[in-house]
Amino acid sequence: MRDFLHHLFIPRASNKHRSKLLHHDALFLAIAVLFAGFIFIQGMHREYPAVLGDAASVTVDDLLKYTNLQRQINGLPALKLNNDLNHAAQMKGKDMFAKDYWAHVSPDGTTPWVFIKNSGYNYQYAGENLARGYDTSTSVVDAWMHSVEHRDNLLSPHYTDIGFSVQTGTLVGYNTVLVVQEFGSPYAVGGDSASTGQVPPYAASNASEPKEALMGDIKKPTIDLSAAKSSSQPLVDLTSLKRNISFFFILFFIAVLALDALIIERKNIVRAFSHNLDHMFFFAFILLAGILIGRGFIL
Amino acid sequence: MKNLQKHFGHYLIYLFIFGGGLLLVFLNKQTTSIAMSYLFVTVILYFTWSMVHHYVNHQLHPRVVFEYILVIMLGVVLSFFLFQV
Repeated sequence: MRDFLHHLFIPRASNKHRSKLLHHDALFLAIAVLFAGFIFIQGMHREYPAVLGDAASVTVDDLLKYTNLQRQINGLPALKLNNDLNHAAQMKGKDMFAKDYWAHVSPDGTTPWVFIKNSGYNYQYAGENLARGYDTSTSVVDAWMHSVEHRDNLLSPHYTDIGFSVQTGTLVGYNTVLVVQEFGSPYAVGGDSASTGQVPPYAASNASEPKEALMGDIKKPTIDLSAAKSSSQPLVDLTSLKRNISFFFILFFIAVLALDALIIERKNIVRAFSHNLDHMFFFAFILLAGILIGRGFIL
Repeated sequence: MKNLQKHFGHYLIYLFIFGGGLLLVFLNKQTTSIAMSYLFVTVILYFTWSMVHHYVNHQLHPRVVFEYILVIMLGVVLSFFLFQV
């Protein structure tokens, strides 16, 4: 057994002075096994989402708490959870899943303001933040706070109300947890319309529009807040599993390459070619890119 | 270490390619498709520069090309696990 492990990891005569794991046939085997593993995991996810799915502990209560915490830190009044805005967020999320788009404006041109108006919220100022792929409420709010435009929405003094929806579904080909955050201030309450300075990622001022035209005959919906949270809690989180497998194999290959190079250097073995450092750079790049991109996205 | 000293310029170019790639990925991390495009371009540049370097050093043998292709394929398969796009 020990001899076999040496053959796999330590450059010596039996493996032509290169770790067996770095031979072409071993690399090819690793590619085939990993590719088959990827197909298997995706298949398991499709067939048994309750076992291997997207786990998330994002809740409206926590999103509200952390949003207001950030506003409090920045000397701003807390936002009130509004049923109409919750309903608008719920409708927006459903529309995104139904039409399969990741954008503020739907493919048919429907803006977020349509959902807000249709929910019966007569706004003077309104805004929208979106997030997908995050597994905790804090990571969602943190991501928004690290983006200037989303932060501007979160910390806008123009808003008094807020609504959320947290939904799980398939968006642009991936099973994900989608968070929609709608901001607003009712027409009668907001500040001076001339001082409008609100900015995207998605914000609107409706100050010039007559109040009557907004209300129309829209019925105010009732909303069940318990539905506005992620209910998906599978046995194993798919995204974490895949990332951990990838991190493990990248670090494993970097370690094998480093060990191989170190032993060759120590033993003063002359090899015709040695690309260990090249490949270590490459794997380190993939690893760092994976860390940088992360697992969630905001819009 | 000897290899690093001997081919310092070669590794400096790698550092530039990967450093630039990481910077572009970081700057576009919220737009996955763009970040992935930069990742892809970086991998192409890595392969191209490696081939140029080995050609200049009269070491461009089919085995070398095949090894780089295998390592890149391994990196691409591992990327499937890593990136949710």
